[in-house]
Amino acid sequence: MHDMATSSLAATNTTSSGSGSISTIHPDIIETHVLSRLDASALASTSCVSSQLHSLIASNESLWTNICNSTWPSTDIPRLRHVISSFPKGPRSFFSDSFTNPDIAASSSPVNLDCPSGLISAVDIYYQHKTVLSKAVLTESFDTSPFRVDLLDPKDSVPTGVGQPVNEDLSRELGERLTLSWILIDPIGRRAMNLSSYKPVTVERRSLSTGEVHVRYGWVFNAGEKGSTTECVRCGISVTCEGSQNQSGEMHVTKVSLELEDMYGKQLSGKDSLVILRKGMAGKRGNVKGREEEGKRRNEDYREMRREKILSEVKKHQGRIDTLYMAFGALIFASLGCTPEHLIFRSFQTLNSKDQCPCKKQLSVNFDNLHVFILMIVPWITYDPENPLQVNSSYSNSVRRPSYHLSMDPPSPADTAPASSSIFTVHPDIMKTHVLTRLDASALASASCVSSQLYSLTSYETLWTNICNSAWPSTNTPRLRRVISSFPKGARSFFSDSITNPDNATPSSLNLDLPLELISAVDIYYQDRHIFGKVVKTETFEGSPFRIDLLDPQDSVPTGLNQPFNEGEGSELSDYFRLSWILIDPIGRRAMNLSSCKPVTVERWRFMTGKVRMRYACVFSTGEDEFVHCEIMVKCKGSQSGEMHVRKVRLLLEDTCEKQLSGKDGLVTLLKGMVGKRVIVRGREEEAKRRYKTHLKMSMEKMQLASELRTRQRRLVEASFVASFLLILGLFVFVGWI
Amino acid sequence: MASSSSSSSCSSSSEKKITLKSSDGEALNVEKNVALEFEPAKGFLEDNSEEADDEAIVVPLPNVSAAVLSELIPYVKQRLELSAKPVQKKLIKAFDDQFTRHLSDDKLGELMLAANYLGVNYLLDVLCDVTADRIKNKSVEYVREFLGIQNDFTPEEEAELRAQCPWAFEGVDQD
Repeated sequence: MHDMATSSLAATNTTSSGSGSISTIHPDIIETHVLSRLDASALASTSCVSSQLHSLIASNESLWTNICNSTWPSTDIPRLRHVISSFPKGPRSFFSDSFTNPDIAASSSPVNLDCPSGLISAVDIYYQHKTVLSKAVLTESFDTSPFRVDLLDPKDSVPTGVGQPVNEDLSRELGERLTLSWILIDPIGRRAMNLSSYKPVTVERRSLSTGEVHVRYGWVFNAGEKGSTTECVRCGISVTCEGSQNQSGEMHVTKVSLELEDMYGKQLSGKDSLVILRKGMAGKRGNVKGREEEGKRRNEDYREMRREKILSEVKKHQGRIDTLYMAFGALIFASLGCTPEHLIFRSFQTLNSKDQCPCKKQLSVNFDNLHVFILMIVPWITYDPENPLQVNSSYSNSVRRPSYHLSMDPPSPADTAPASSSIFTVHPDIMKTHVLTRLDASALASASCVSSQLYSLTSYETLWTNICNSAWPSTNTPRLRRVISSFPKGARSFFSDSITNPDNATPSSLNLDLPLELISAVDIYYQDRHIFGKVVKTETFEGSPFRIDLLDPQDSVPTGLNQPFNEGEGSELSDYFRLSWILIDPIGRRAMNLSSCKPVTVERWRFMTGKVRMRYACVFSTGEDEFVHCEIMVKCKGSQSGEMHVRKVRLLLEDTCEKQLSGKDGLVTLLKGMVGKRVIVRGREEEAKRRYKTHLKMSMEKMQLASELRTRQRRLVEASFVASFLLILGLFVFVGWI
Repeated sequence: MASSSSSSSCSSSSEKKITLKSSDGEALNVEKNVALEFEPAKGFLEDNSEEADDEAIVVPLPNVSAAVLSELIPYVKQRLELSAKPVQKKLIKAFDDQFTRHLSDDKLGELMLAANYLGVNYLLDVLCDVTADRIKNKSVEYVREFLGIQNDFTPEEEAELRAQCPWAFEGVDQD
């Protein structure tokens, strides 16, 4: 790859040195006439052409200053020009900073927060490429909460030169044609970034009479750790345009403001915003190409995410509110000292007078309203709808699985100075044939990261095939070997896939019409001895529930172990009996391991026949609070001679409510699991056990919750029957009275 | 293979001495059976077998330095003595361990090259085992330094490679 690059460079060098080429033109001409005509991206790529051109462009600061000023007229003020020239490479780095939007914020803020600092906002609004408004403001105090930058004073208004739109479509058109750039500059950290989506995210017509149009721009970027409230932060920029007072019909921009919101739509305080914005400046940037669409897409994703977050938080609180509801009911019940029928009737009456909801036909609707009603009355006891996370933060933290981040510090070239005569440099063959064959998988994988030469040595297919075959003897069949070699990097990727358990399933679009098949390669070991390995292919997934049986009903495989006679031996068995279940998708060319390696539970099934049942489990998430539990059950039975035989090895899939998945669902879930994130290998036995226990607990809770809900609903229905009966009775009595 | 050839030559020609000439011009006297363990020396001796006086033969070994040869020769000698006896494999292993335990990384490399050149396969096996053990469970940076290789990946390429096999870096020892 490098060679190709250098050779093509050499090729361009030879062509450009020919007579009469453009490079023979005097550099002054290039500088004054050609370069000044280039736009930013052309200028940047030209500066990469040769060192001469690079120095020409780098030395000429005014080139970049002109580009900055013409792109953003707001930067053309003495104060900002001073700030820009203080940037590491002057206007050039300012341009590349300001032209890009933040994508992922840096993990730590590079600037000391205590030092007094301000942020400069340079804002430009264009109407069809014509500048409407250019202004720069300095924000110095961040003590105010929530954080907000207002570009215009309350009484200021800037004419746009556009007539007031008369109908909905025209005002939408107006909105769409207004583009905005909001550059945020940190004069001390000497970084900048753009916070606008350029094109509006939403356009809203507020009022017909004044012609008020509300245009929103936004940018969403990752600002915090996964799971924190600032995982995603939205920079919302809102622009308000109004028709002018003096009947000229011209639109004026009256309000331009910037605000920051976290995952829950809560506005961030000044201090927090300052930290996040600085981190955003130091962090990774998004692509320039297609950023308008990207901005829109991100905004929609953000809204969807926020909605889900809030919904899930509310759901978690449902239980708490329900108990509150009960307590509240009991309170009224006690205070009024009357029958429950009376109570329900009463509370509905109060509700009817409180809010004018027209649909009151069904009692369940009333029940919901009662809910809302109680929410309105007693928020101060425990529930704070403004900030739901505070109450429950400890819970959600404990539930969240630790996510694995690869810590990586690229080594400085200084400490890898080549030794004078090393084994490797002198004789790579020794390395290849003698040393690499002796390495285990992880040593081999880390050796492949050492250098490109070593990488190509370790890419040697049989090296990895041997490792795979010795780790899982079942993979050593001609058919599977062919499948493995079809993997993107052959046995290397197969190993990498097969050693890891799935963690998160990635939602992906799968074409289910394709003839799909799954191959299961299963190995059972006792201690480090391989007992048994088998490969089965599953082609039809029509059967429900989803299950894969490894052995035929009449098959039994001798383990070479004696039947355990007491509980102690049985538990010993559990420690030493290991299983690996590799599931391979030969079409998608992915694989994963579904076994916890060690059993999660061991049951002595029956004492006399020495039946032992072992379970291996793998739990991975398929969405918010949704888990799939892959259960592998191994049944062993003692034979006449006292030797243990494996009689049954079966894979089943269960969802969060312990319901078995159907064939199609199971297939889809497994395929998604293969594409998704993986669990770290180290300590995966314990991790699998822990997950299995959490899964059991969660499904238990869910089932309890469901049964509770059912009984409550039943009670409610009963109560409503009694109430309506009494009502009718009362009516009859009343009518009879009259 | 090596042990069988040595046991046959051991009794007949243990008295005879051969002179080996190292790359830096030093001459070392060794028993003939030791010299026969070295492939180039063996070939040279076979080619010049008409000459009556073995003492006069000087075998040039242009790829091995005197320092390395002087370490190799005692090892091969002792190893021959060990394998001539009705063997206990444990003893040989213990002897190999003792020999390799205190070798520095540089020395290990030089010995490996020499063993490869001289075709002393049992030594090469032992040394490769040691090398593999020294690389196992080590960080990439350590391996780089150990092998004396310059990193020629761009940081992006390296990050991508590392991301492909995160499981390989979980059990890394301290350097």
